[in-house]
Amino acid sequence: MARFLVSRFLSLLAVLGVVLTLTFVLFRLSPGGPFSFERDLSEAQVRAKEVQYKLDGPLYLQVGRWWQDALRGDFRESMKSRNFAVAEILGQSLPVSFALGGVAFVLAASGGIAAGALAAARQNRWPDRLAMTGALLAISLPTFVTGPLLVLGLALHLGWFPVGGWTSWKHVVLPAICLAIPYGAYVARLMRNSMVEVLGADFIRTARAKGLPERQVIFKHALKVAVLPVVSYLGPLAAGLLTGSVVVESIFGIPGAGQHFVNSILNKDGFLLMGAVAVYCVLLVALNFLVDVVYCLLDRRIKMYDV
Amino acid sequence: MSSSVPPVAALGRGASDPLSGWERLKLDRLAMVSLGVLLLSALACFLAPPLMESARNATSAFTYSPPGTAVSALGGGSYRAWLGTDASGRDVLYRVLSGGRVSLVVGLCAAAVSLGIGTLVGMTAGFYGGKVDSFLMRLVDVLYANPRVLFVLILISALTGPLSLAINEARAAAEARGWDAARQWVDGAIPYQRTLILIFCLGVIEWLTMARIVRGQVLVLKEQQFIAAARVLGQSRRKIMVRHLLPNLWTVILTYLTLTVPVVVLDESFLSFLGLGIEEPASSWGTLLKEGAGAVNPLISRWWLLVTPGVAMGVTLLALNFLGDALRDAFDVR
Repeated sequence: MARFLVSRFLSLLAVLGVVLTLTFVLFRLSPGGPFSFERDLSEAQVRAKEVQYKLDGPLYLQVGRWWQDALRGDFRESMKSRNFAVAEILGQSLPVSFALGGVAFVLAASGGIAAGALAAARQNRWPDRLAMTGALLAISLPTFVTGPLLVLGLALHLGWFPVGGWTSWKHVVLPAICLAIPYGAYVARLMRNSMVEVLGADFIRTARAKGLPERQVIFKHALKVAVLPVVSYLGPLAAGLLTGSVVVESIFGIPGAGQHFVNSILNKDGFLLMGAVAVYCVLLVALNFLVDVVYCLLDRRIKMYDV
Repeated sequence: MSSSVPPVAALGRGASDPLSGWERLKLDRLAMVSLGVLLLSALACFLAPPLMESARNATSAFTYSPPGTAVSALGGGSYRAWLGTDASGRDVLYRVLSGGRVSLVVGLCAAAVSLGIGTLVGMTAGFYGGKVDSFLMRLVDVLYANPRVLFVLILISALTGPLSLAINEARAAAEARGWDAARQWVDGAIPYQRTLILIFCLGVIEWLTMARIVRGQVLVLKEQQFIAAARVLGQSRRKIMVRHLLPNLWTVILTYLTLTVPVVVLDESFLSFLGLGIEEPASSWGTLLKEGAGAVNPLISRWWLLVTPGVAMGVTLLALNFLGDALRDAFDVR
């Protein structure tokens, strides 16, 4: 198991390096350049700016210097918001996104697993059809439809929750639901398919033949195995949710980190972009690794990698 | 969805005579209903807008009329706006149908682009194997780890400038040489710049799943005897790929085409929400939904601006997803 985990860890680190380098190269190669908003710069001025932002010289040196700084924990200053360090900007917005994303993650994972397991246990009966049609519909609608609809129903008509803002726990509920809906639907579909497969397996037939009550068969025997594919999806799920969503943030007026992903590209703010991508990728890699560890603990068969 | 075993007896055949994928699909009532809904939706989007003369010419005096009000048209006469009008007094039903046309065209074309790339990469990786395979699959892994949103945003912002430059140059060149037909053709393409960029960019980011699936299928197929026979007969690799592998892959391709279209339509609507999608005055479901999302507010909620395009898009994508799931079950694509 140790060897499996070490090799996984190394390959994940490699992915991290490649993705960040690729993003930097893409940002540098995209036409226009980071200074094209400032009008009428002469060649010499552009050169001076490049030196100022450490973007002069050959591309591989630029990437190298960024990595040097990043590994020391210095993500440089934002190229658009003067005098703001990238770390500072992300440091203010990430806690908000983490709180919101964390709640959404719990909702999506627990709701999805419960709905999927229920659907599989009642395969092809009405709870199954209802849950799966609902899940498919949730996947077919963008969050900027479900969000305003939630606002219209639960905030404006019933007045249970505030329309937007970010001051009390009540402000978390609607955006978290909105964020969780499509992911929860995906988890539910994954869970149902896997559960249906597991419920047809021999060891379940044995359990039933022993005369175990159906509830025990499902909760004690089937669920533990069927949840494995969902567990492997939880890594990307958490990374996606914790870094925020620009759509949900703009609908509910939340000062999260999702906006920086999009705005940094539109503003050609390369260092902010690199910082945001670095956060996303480190989260993704760390969570994927965590998932691998959990997987090893849940599924003893992976021990064969030790041979 | 529909994993129930279809009643073989319904076709008057014995259990030893297995059903083909199409026969299984035909027995799937949900899939057939979805297909009907899809055809209906496509027909409405493509055929109805040209017929709605009075709706197209609606006056701007009737802004935000709720559904069902009578609205007088610009050229005289009046009609009933069954689904209300928007901020500029345009008929919502007309806009939703013509927006659906744009969304569906972008969805289909971008899905086709992604299938082209995905099939090519998947077939190459699976068939050649070895170093080619591991290189291509590592590439896919890395691209999977890249946040797709960023990638498509970078692509769009990178391509927008050069494309309009290229179009201007082509236009100037045609004008200088006096090629009137060519100039007119280029002029005609100008409003579709954004659409072209969207089709290309969305196609370029959505091929990863397709490549993996095709590769898996090719790995299975290439061990089979008819491929070995073709090899023994001395057929070239390209011929084997085109003549023998591709015909055996088309159910996979059809299934994933059906499942990629909704993904692309959703992506397009996301880009429209950011203001990077289809631009005014043209509309897609995405731009309409963006408008609709802005129309829900604590003062007056013009819900029909959100609900109408939302229902149209939801129903169409739901039908596509149902059909895709049914195709996957019927042809047993994994």
